[in-house]
Amino acid sequence: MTDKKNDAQVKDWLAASGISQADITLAHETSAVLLDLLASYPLDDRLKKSVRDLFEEAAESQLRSAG
Amino acid sequence: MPFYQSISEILSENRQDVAGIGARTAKVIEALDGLGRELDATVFLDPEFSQDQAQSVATGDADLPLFGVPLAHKELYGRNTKAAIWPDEGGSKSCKGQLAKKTATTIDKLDKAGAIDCGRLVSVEYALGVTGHNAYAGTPKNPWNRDYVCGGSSSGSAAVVAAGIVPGALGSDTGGSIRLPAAACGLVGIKPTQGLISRSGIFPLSASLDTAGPLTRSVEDGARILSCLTGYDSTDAMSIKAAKIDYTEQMEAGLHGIKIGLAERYFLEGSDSDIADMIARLFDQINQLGAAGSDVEIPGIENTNPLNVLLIASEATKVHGNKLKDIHSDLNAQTLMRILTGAFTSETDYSRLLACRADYIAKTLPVLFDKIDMFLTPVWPFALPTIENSDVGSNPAAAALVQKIGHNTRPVNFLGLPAICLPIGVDKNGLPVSAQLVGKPFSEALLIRAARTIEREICFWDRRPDSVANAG
Repeated sequence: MTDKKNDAQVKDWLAASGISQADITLAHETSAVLLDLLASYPLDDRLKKSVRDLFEEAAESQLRSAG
Repeated sequence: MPFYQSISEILSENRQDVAGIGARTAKVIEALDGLGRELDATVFLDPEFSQDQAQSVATGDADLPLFGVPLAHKELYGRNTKAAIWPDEGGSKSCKGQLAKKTATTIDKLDKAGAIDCGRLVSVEYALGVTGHNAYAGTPKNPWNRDYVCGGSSSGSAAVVAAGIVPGALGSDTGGSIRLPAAACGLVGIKPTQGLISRSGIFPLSASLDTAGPLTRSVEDGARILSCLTGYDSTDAMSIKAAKIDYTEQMEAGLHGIKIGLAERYFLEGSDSDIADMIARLFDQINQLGAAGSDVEIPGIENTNPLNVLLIASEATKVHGNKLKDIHSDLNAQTLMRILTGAFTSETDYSRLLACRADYIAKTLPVLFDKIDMFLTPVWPFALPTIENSDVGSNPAAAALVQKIGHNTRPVNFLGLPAICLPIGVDKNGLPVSAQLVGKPFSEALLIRAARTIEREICFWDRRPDSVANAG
């Protein structure tokens, strides 16, 4: 789901940076498809670990079993 | 003049004839300057630095693991020492004249292992591309057939290793950029577990997804280089303290006891039937060699490809977006579009994206690796395209084809898993076809062991591109 306020600000910023309207429109459409997919992901808010935390645990487990 | 020597052959010769290290270095640089440029793969050479390094190594410890071994690397790898400050252009006109601010930790580790750094090799602009096209730095030609792509983004690395000039080169992999060029050029490519190898000093694309690893002609050479690269680095926020392993140690132990899954849905079904058939035949073959094979299902895997695209775009915008006003006219259209796409990701979206990735990894990996140690997939989902047919710049209709190239590689980056790819045969055009083994976090040693067994059976090592074998 796109954030209309954020999108308007980004479009203004890109236009001020000299990006063509055609490119801004195409990028916005592409982004909207990807962000819609993200919004549909059934996120479990109970998980508080980052990806780094998860891999750190995996490495620690390997170190324990090695040593 | 190609050399096609393994690291162990080079080490053996160097230890018997220390004085020959300088001469070997000179020959490699000559080849990078000749054949390497002919293939549009070489981007920077500093013969004086490399010769000085060769002389210094020759008077040092001959037991170093890469004693006098000539290597060259993707141009994203920085070198900034008292002796040399090398360019850091990220394959882009937008960074023309930019110099490395620091030496990459990986380059420092290779220096300390006794390797000779012979120069830098072409990358796709900002490492954002899977075919290898680069209108600024050059589009490397595939040594197996120069009309065909090398794959990207570590395209120059793949070209010079496949051409037999150096035994290995570092690349970087955010969505497949080590594995796709390695596979296109008949090489072994190792994409390590996220956090195993430092990215410090490497031109950044995606803080979450970037990984560094080697492209080599053999599993053993890949294992030797990988063994020198690992180690915690406090200057890389994603670096993780993991066990220090010599990856060559268990390499010859065979496939017995290794449980390998075949992910038919998504990976095989999403690939052309001739490629999928080759992978299915390989799966049967490795079962006969002692592996315990089974089918695996990875729920939700189809969403990881587009979510990886979104994460790369969002983080590329964080790195490069602030200078968009100054650089946009210097960027190629595809790079610009990826950065523009990422610009629409708000901080809330970005936080959710990182949380979704963690959630998916936490839920998927324990189930996926409950009954298997690794799974098998193709690398390229179809036969390699030509440079002309896949040039989105001159042929916008090629965009759909190009978009599909990362189908089998991007999910692995999203999951943060280690993978190794290796050649298993050739396609209808005589170009390499490769398989990918994807393992649990930090299971590189097991992946290398399995890949080495397959390599021994397939014997691709002896095959060489005719166009290069007859050169020079």
